[in-house]
Amino acid sequence: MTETIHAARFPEFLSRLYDGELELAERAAFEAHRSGCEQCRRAADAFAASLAVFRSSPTAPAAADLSARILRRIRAQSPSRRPFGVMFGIDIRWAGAFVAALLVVLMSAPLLLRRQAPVPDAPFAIPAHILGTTTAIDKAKEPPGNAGPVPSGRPAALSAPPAAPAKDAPADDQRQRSSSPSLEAKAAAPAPRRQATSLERSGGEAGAANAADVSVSPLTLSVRPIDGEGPAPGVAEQPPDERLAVLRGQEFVLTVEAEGRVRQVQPSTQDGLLSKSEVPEVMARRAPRPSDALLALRFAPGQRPRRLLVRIE
Amino acid sequence: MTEPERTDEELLASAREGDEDAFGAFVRRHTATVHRWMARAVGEGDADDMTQDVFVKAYRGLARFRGEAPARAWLAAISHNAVKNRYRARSRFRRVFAGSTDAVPELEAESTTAGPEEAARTGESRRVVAEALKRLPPDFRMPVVLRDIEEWSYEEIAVSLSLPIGTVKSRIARGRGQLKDILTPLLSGRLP
Repeated sequence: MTETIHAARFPEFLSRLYDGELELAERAAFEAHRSGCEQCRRAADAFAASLAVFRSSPTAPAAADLSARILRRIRAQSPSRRPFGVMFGIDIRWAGAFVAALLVVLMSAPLLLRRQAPVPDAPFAIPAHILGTTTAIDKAKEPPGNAGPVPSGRPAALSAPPAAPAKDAPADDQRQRSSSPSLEAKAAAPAPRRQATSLERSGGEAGAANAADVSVSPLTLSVRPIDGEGPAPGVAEQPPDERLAVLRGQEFVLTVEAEGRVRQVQPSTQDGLLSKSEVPEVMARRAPRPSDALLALRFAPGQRPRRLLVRIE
Repeated sequence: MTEPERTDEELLASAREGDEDAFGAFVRRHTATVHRWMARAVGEGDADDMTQDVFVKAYRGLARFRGEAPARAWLAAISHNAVKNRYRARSRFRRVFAGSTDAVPELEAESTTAGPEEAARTGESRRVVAEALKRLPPDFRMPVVLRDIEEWSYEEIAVSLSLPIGTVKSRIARGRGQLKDILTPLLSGRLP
């Protein structure tokens, strides 16, 4: 009973009364009490009256240009605001995509480069950096007088007229040089860039030219023995020029059976064109091999198998 | 044929993507409401500045608006924090530079000396109410304004201000009680 009488002292009770949240019994008890309690009646009435004044008191409306001022202030304080993800004037979303794409390119570049190894103009074309290099073997073969530096990296034989072999050179080497003095220069030159214009024969070579079938220039075969077994056998049979044309400017080492059939064709390792360790790699990534056309060559039969250096011009 | 009016959520979504016109439309739509809240919570003299503060903070916090609650609830939360921070800063300033440990109720207390008689004589309940509100603790102001001026439900207020509903009810009841204590003598011509 005491609690009901003085409930109006508590703002929580008056607030619930004002919001109509009192239970029916609770409200009935308070109304009964308020009718006989001046203090609680005045408290409840003052509570309602003050809230009525509070709720009904007007406020000055916002200035007409307040919105415009707000927007000006926002622009002034955030002039560089851009959509979400933009920082320091850079759209980090696109920047992220760009970085991801760049990473993909960088990571895939080695794979692409490995697949797209330098495609030569013609199969078995030998990389320029290899063509321009003189091997230790060549240096050993060079006459002492040609040992000076050559700016182009080409053998000295190209820069100087053919010199007489040195007296102290090995007999075998002298024999080869004397049999084909101009062949070294041809082999050492960058093969794809050179255009032969004449039929060349050296030693026992048997060249074959069919100028009528070749549109650019007559095709020639230079054959030189490299086995020290005497002059090269003559060419008895030759595949069509169009099959050999793709090999123009290249040299190959042919292993020829005694009966004249070509048993094996290898890119030349002479004159520093390819090291022996490079030959299998070069051949492995060239399939099918256009040099197989050389297998159709037939030479004049001899006493024993021969190794011949054949250059197609 | 007029273009259908975009919802608050659509405007804010566009604003997040950098559409400043969308945020401008949102500001124009709610300026009067926020100004009304601020006129009650901090007084008409500071309402303009506080309204601007609220929208600037809203603009900076666009990325945090998830659309899970109505935009006006989001604005109410920003307003509530702005009111509290304003008086917290003032209180700190007074403690540091004036040596006072009193809190908010003493704000502009000198203006109350002319209040009751003038209010009773001219009926300027507007100024009396403003004075009364200035004496309310900042934590009570926005809940009371939202409940008794904007007539929001307790649940809406609790969600907007991220407070337990019991806390909201308690603050509103205590705020109302303080308003009664402040306003009753002012309205009856007596000093508190």
